[in-house]
Amino acid sequence: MLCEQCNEREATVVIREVAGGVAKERHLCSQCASQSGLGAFLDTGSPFARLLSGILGFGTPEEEQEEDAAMKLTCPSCSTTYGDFVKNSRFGCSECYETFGLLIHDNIKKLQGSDKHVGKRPRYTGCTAEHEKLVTQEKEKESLRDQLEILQAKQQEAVREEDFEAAARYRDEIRSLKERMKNEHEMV
Amino acid sequence: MSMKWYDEAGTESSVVAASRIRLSRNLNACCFPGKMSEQQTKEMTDDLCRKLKRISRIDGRSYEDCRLDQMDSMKREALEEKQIINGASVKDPKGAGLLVSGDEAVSITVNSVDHIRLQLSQSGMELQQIWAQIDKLDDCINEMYPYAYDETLGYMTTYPTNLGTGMKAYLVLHLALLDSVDKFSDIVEEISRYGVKLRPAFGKDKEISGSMYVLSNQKTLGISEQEIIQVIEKVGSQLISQEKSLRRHSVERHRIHAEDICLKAYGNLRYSRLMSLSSGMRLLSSLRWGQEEQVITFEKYCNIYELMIGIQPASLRVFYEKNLEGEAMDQARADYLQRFLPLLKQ
Repeated sequence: MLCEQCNEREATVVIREVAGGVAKERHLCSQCASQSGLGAFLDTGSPFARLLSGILGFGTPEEEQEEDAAMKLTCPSCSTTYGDFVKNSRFGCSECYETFGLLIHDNIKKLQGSDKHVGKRPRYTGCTAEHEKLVTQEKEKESLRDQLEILQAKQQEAVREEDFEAAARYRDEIRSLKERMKNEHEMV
Repeated sequence: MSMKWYDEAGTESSVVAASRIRLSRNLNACCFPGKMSEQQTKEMTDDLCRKLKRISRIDGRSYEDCRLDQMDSMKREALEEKQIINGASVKDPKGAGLLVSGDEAVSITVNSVDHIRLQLSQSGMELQQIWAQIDKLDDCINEMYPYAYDETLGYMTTYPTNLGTGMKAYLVLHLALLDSVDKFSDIVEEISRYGVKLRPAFGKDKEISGSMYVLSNQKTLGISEQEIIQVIEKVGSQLISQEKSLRRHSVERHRIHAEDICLKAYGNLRYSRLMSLSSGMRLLSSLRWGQEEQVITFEKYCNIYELMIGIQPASLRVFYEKNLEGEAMDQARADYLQRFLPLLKQ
C-alpha cells in the first residue's frame, strides 16, 4: 500500500484517529508521519525523548545507518555510549559533553533555551599551584590539630596517673604547639 | 530536641512555608558517580563526608554524616518527605553519603546523582539570604575540591537539565484558597511561560498535597543565579498576593463561614480515630490559613507545615518505629495529630 499523503513511498505507519465517535485510519509512510505531528506522541517523559523519535524511526536507511553509528559513539574517558545517554539522559563524566557535543548541542539549546552559561564561576577548576598550596596548608593545620589532641590526651592521662612531671612536660609542649598554630594562622 | 530551621518564622510566612536553594557540583577530573568503580565511590564518599564538615567554620553549624546505602529504606523515605534528600537517593542510594546540619537547614548528598548536591532551606521567603549563605558554603567546598566547569556550559552535571548554574531555587507556597479557584489550572499554565514550574509539594497528587505547592525554575543554563531568584520571587509574589486577597475577602465578608470551616477541621483532626492522608492534609490546610489569618488561635503557635510532614507515611513509620499499613496507618495518623495539635485558645 502506498502512502496516502505522498503516494510515493510504501505506507509503514497506521494512524487511528477517533474524533466525534468516528474512528478514521490513515496509512502513511514514515516521512509523512513524522511531519504530521505524530512525533509529538513520542515527545513525552524524558526531555530527550525527542532524540529517540529522531533516531529510532522516521528516517531513511542511510540516515538510520548513520544514527546506528552515532549510538555506538563512546566517550574515551568513561566509556559511556551515546546509546546509554539516549536511554537514561545522563552523562558519565564531564568529557561526555565534548564527545557528544555535536549530537546534543541543539537539544541542550532546546531544553535550556540557551547554550551559554552566565552567572557564577568557580574559583578552582583545576589542580593549580595555588590550590595545591591551599590543600597543603590545610593538611599541615590538620596534622597540628591532631598533634594537639594527642598531647592533650597524654597530659590528662599523666594527671590521672599522678605523674605530674610528665604532665608539666606535656603542658609545655602544648603551649609551644599552640603558639606555633597561632603564628601560622596570623601568617595566613 | 534541638531547634530546627522550620521552627523560625520568616518573611511572608502566612503563605510561604519555606525557601530552598540546591546546587549541583562535580569534582574535576573524576567520572560522575554512576561511572565510578565501587571502591572509588566508597573512598570518595568517605573523603567527602569527612572533609565537607569543615564548612561548619563558615556557617557555625554542626554536621553529622551517614551512609545512605546503610540506612533503612523507611528512614530514607522519611528524609525525602522532609526534603532533605531527593527521590533519586531514596531509590538508588548505592555508595551515596549524607551530611546534615543539626538544624537540618543544610544538607549535602554526596555521590548520588552528582558528586555534591548542596542545599539550604529557610522559613518564609528568603531566597536572597539563602543565596548569600550557600554561595559562601559553595566557595568553601570549592577551596577543598576543584570543580568540573566549562566556560560555555557552566558547572558540569550528570543530567543536562542542571547544566549552567546547577542551581534550583524553590518556594514552598500554601495556596489554600487559590488552588480551588476555577482559573487555577490556567494560572499554573501561564506560570510555565516564565520558565518556572508549580507542582504539588507532597506527592504528585493535588489531593494529598494539602494545598502546598512548590515553585521552582526549570532552566539552569543562560540564566544567572540572581535572575533565577528574581523570576521565582516575582512569580511567587504574584501568587502570594492573589492568595492573600482571597483570604482577605473570605475573612472580611464571610467570617462566620471561615470560622466554621476552620473549627470543623480542628474538631475532625482532634477527635478522629482514623485519619487518611488526604483528609489529614486537607484539614491541616484549613487550620494553617485559619491560624495565619487569625480566624482561629491556638494556645501556642502551631507549626502546621511540620505537622504536614509528620503525618506522611514514612515519617509516621519512623516515628512509631512500625511498618504501618492501611488502617493501622490511619489510626497512627489520628493518634499523632491528637498528640501534637495544641489546644485552641478559649
